[in-house]
Amino acid sequence: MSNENKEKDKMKRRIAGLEKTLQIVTGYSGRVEKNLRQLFEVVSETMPVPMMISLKTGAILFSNTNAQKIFGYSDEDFHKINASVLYENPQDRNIFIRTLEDQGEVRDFAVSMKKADGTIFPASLFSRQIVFEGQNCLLTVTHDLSELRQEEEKRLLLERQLRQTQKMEAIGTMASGIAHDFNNILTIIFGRLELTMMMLPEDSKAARYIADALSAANRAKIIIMQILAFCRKKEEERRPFRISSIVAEAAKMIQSLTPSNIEIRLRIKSKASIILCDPTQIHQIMMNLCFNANHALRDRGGVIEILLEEVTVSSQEKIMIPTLKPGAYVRLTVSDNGPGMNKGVIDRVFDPFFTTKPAGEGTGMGLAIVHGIVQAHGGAVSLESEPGKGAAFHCYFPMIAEAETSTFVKPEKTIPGGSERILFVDDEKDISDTCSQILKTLGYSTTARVRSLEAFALFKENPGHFDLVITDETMPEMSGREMASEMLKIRPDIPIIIITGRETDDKILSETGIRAVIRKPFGRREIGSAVRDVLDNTPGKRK
Amino acid sequence: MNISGESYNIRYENQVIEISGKLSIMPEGYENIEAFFRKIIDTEPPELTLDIRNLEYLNSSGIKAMCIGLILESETKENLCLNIRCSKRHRWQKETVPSFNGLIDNLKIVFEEE
Repeated sequence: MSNENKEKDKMKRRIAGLEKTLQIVTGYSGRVEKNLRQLFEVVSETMPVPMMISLKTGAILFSNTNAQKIFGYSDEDFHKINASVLYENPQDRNIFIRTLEDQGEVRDFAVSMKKADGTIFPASLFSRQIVFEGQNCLLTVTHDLSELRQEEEKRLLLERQLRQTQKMEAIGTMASGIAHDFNNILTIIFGRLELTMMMLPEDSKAARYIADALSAANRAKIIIMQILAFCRKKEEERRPFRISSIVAEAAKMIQSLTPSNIEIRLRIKSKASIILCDPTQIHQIMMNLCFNANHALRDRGGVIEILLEEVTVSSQEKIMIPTLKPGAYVRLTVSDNGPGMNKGVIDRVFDPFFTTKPAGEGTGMGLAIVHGIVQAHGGAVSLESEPGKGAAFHCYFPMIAEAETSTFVKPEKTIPGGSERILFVDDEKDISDTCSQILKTLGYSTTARVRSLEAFALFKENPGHFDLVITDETMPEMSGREMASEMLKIRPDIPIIIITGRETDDKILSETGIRAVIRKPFGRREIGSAVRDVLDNTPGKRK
Repeated sequence: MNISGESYNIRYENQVIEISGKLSIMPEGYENIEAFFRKIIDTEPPELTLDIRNLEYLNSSGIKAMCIGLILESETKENLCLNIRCSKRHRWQKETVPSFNGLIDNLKIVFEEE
C-alpha cells in the first residue's frame, strides 16, 4: 500500500473513530439529561412547597403539584395565566423582579399571594435565576405562612392569657388582702349596728336609719364576696348550691356592666333547684355568655334574657344533645335578639380560639370555657340560632336530689342563745369587744382576749373552765390554728370555732379538730347559730 | 507521574494509568489531561492499561477526552495494545464503556465483577 493510501486509510479510520466517539458522547449525554430530568421531577414533586418556573414576563413554564394544590390552578391553567395574578397586589411582582435583578437571588420576600378562588394568604418567596428549556427563567418557591401566622397568633394569645392569668392572680392576692381588712371592718360595723338596733324601739326613726345602714353594709359584704369570687385562686370545688341565688347574683353584676340600650331580663322559674357546682364557674359561664350577647347587641341595642328552669331530658332529647343522659336538669338559658349566627359559625362557635370579634376584642376562648365548665359539671350546652333571629345558649346542669342537701339548715326566725362560757380571741380590739357584747346579748358568759398567747395561757391554767373557744385565724404571736392545735392537745373535746376574713379550706380545718368556720363579716344571727350548733353537737354539753 | 484535581486523581506507573474519584470538570479542563495521555503514549509502551475501577463518575466531556485523547490517540502508535479495566459497581461504566469497543482494533475491555 502506498504511503498516500496508508494516510487515506488512517484518516478514514480517524474519521470513523470520531464519528463513533460522537455517538458515544451523544448517547451518554442523553442518558445524563434523562437522569437529570427525572431528578428534577422527583425533587419538585417531593418538596412540600409550591415551586414554579416562570419567565420574567410572567409566563409560567412549570408548576409542581404543590403549587397547583395551594394556588388552586391546574397545570394547564398555570400556562394560561400571568404570574402577576398570583399576587394580591400585581405591582408586588415588579418589586420582586427588581430585587432579583439587583441581588441575583431573592430570599424571604414577604408578600400577600392570591389563590384562584380569590383567597389571600401571607407568603414568603425564595427565587433564583436559572436556564430552563433554553430560556432565562426564575425558579420561585412559595412558602405559605398562613399556618405559621396562625401558630404565632395562638402563641401570642396564649402569652396574653398567661399574662392575664398572672395579672388576675396578682389582683386576687391584693383583693384577698383588701377583703380581709374590709371584712374585719364590716364585722365591727355589723356588730355595732346590731347592738345599737337592740337598744332602740323597733318603730323608731333611729332604728330605721340603723336598718338602712345594715342594708348598705350587707351590699358592701356582697361586693366583697363578688370580688373574691372572681379573683380568688382556688382549686375547683363543687358543692350543693342553690343555682338561682348564684344566677341572680351574677345577673345583678352583669346588669351593672351592661350599656343602657341593652335590657337584661331575668326569669327564675326554679328557685329551689340545687346542683353540685363551683359558684365561681357558674359566674364565669354567665359572664361569658352575657358578654357575647352584649357584643351582639352593642350597636343596635336589644334584650338579653336569662332564664333558669327545671327540665326533664327524655331519651328523645338525648338524641338532640347526645352527651346528655336522660334525667332532671336545671337549664340556664342566655338568649338575645341580636343578629344571630349562620351554620358555619354555629359549627365552630365552641372551638377554642374561634372568634367573630375584631382582632383585640375577643380571645375566642369564652364559649370554649363555657363548654368545658358545663361538661365538667356533668351537663351539656346547646345552641339555637339563625341569621336575623338571635341566639340562645342552653346550659344543662344535672339536678341533685333534695336528700343530698340535708346538711342545709333552714334559717330560724329567732337567734338561738345559751349560757355557756366562751373564750373569744381576736387581735382587733373592736371585733373582740363587739363580738363578746353580741354573745353576751345572747346569754353567753364571754371572756375576750386580744393576744393569743394570753388567751392560751388563760385556757391552759384552767382548761375545764370554758365550754367553747372562738378564735380569729390570723393573729400575731400565735395563729388561731396553732392555738387551737395546742388547746386540743390539752383538752381534745374542747369545741373550737375559727373566724376568718380570708378564704380558708374548711376541710383542712375540720381535720385539725376545729368544729366550724365563720367567715367575716358576720352578724349576730350567723355567730349565734354557729355557736349554738357547735355546742349542741358537742358530747357532754351543758346548757 | 501524577495529575490531580479537587475530586480526582490520575496516576501513571508501570504502564498503568489509574484514574480515581469523580471527574466532572469543564471541557477546557480536559486539555491538561489529554496532554498527559499524549505524553504517556509518546513513550511508546508496548501495552497500556487504563484502570478506571475507582472512577465513580465521568461527565460527557471526560468521555470525549478518554475516547479521543487516549483511545484514538493510542492507535497512532503501531502495536500498542490498550486495556481498560473497569467495574460494574459504577453504573456509567456498565452503560457506556462497552460502547468503546470498535473504536480501535487493539482494545480489550475487562470488567471486574461487582
